Amino acid sequence: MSAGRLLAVAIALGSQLGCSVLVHPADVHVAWATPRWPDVTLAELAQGRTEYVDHCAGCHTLVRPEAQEPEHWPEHVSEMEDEQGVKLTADERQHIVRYLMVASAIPVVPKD
Amino acid sequence: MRRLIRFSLPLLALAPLTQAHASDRHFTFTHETDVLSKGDVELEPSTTFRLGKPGGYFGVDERIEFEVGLGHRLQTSLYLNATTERAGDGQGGFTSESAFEGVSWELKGKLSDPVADAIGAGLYLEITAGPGGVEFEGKVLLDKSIGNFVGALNLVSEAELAFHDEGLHPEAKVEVDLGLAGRIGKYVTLGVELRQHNLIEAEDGETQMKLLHSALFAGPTVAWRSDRWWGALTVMPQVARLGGEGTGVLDLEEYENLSTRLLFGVHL
Repeated sequence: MSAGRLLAVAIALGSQLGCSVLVHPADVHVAWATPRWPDVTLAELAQGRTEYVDHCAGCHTLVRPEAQEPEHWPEHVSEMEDEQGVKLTADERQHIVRYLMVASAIPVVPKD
Repeated sequence: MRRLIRFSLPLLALAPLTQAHASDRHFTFTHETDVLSKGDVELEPSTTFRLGKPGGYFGVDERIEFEVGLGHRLQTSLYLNATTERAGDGQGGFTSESAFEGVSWELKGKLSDPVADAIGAGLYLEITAGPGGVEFEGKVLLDKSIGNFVGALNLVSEAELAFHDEGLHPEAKVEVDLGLAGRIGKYVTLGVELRQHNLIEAEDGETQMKLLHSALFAGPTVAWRSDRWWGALTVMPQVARLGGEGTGVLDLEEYENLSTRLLFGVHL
């Protein structure tokens, strides 16, 4: 394989890795969320991402938000609490559900 | 080893009564970055069969591991280690020996997540003390999960002080482990594991350390999980000698022709 092809493969792989992270909340997510939850903030969505990783990755491989429709996430989080014994405060549940819903709806921040 | 097996089997029998847990491993030689949640406890019996050396050699390494989640992306483990070996005595007969190899303590920390971040990363430290010597092992763990594919890479360094009749004998081992697997449905993953191992030590009567043995191993791996436990199996033949002393395509002086590791995990 030539150096050029190797570089192309490396760039493609790096791009794939970069695209495969859990989306970090941005203004576009706040815009999607505000009609549903007028009090939502970017900081809250970022907190929801952190709490999703911290609470859920210890027990299972994280499920990508877009794997479920946004409206399915509240029920799924409740199931994890009821059936798997996950303990969340009301604030943590709200942060996580809101993050998962916005990330499901907009899994990749559009480039300008 | 029989004592360890007698000890572990009743604990395995508890599996149907315990809750599902997903710190399941996809590989047996290669570690991933996942750690248990705070307060979670898991039992992991591991058996490695080694065979294929000249003289009808056969070895079995048995490890029983108790893992505990510490929180803050940390977990710790305690291992009990035992080995049984059978080897030819050069006169047509065989000698068999079983030995308790000591205890190990492990600390594993997760720095980033294989799904949430571009690369999952973690650090792993293991200290073993036993009748034969003391070992310090450090690993850099990297992994990534994209869709149904999982990959993991470990960079391993190990320093050992073995107790010999003439005193302490230092050894160093450097190893690279790579695992790639794909999920087949909800419960099964299939893949391959590669292991490149190097042994550095001083020859008898010398003080200078040098690379004495180096070999590449590769083979298929399968992992499966149920709602209550998980297991993984790797069959890892030696593929090639990569350096060190000696001649021949394979290094059968230090390594076996075939290693097979079976690993279970039960959430307690």
